[in-house]
Amino acid sequence: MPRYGMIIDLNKCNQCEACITACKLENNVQIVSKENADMGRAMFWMNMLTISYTRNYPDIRSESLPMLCMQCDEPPCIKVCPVRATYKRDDGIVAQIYPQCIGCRYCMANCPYTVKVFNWFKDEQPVENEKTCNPDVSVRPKGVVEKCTFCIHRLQKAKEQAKAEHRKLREEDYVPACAEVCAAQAIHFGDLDDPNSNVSKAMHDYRKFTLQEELGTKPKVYYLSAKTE
Amino acid sequence: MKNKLLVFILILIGAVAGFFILSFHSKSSADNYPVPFSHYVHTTVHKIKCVNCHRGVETRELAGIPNIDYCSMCHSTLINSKSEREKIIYQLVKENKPIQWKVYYQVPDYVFFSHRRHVKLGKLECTDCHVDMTKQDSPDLKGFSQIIMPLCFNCHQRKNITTDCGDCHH
Repeated sequence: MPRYGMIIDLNKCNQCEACITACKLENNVQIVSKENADMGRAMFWMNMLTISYTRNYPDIRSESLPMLCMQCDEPPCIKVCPVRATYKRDDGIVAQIYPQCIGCRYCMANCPYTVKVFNWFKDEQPVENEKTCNPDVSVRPKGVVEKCTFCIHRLQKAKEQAKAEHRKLREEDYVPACAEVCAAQAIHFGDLDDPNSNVSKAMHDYRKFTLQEELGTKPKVYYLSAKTE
Repeated sequence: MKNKLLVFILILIGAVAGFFILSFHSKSSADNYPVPFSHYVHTTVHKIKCVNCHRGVETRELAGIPNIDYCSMCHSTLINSKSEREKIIYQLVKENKPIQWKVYYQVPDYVFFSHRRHVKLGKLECTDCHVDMTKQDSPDLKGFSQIIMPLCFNCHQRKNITTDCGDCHH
């Protein structure tokens, strides 16, 4: 059984936010109005976290971090879910089952990375957007928690295609939308247990770090820091 | 007096409701379709396979319902000029008017079901989930076999296939 993981190279990332747009479209993530977004109810499965600003006004540069669900090996969110709506699959992906979720938001409170989002309102998407909805992903109803699932629907499709062609699942068959769209190829995705995968090779870098390591959540999303020295 | 009137009105409402319920149940199965289409004639009499019309079964998620262009491949001429049923479809083909088919088998939008995965790769028969349409004109709403999760689970557990929630609900 594979163990899917991701590495984001912050040296390559130019903060274009294409991954965030791709994620939002791929997974039918609700677009909320400006007033609701101001109240902190904007919905992102993947977001660009600004850490600091360097230099002064005309040449200002921001240092940011693409932030998504860390798909922890020891996920704190599943421990508090009273209905097992969120759970860890055998392939390491932490999935969220929307019809089972009762919207208690315990998992959101227990997530140290604050990457889970709650559907506060009924889908407010403009009518024109209905036609751009991805049919492989459900549109979540009001009152459920949702999160990044490493585009699990793509895994299902890839498995189906591989089986139809009588072959094993190849590494390039299954890539989440964010990794696929990254122009700078800063996002590597693949099987962490396979020594020949891109991800495993990138893991040997000395710049590797994970967020909030001290909590012992063992995230499967790694970063390569932008420091060069 | 008032009470008697109330009782009379209640009886009247009951009678009307009863009439509607009974009339719905006694509807012949051919009324379930917008055109007098018979699965029996197509599959048993003319020996057309399910896949010939529901062409997505082996290649896509949705089985698909043929549009009028596809009907015109056979019905562009009158095969049996005595049949009243056939004249209707012949007329529709001539006008190139799409048929508003009704869909009886549908899974909720939070369930992801692929026909290809089940029919082509899993080697299931149509009748494993659907009513045997070679014996009747249209799905009988009374004996309508519902697609419910225990139906999926029965098969998945017996054949030792994944029962992970995230594989079907995403």
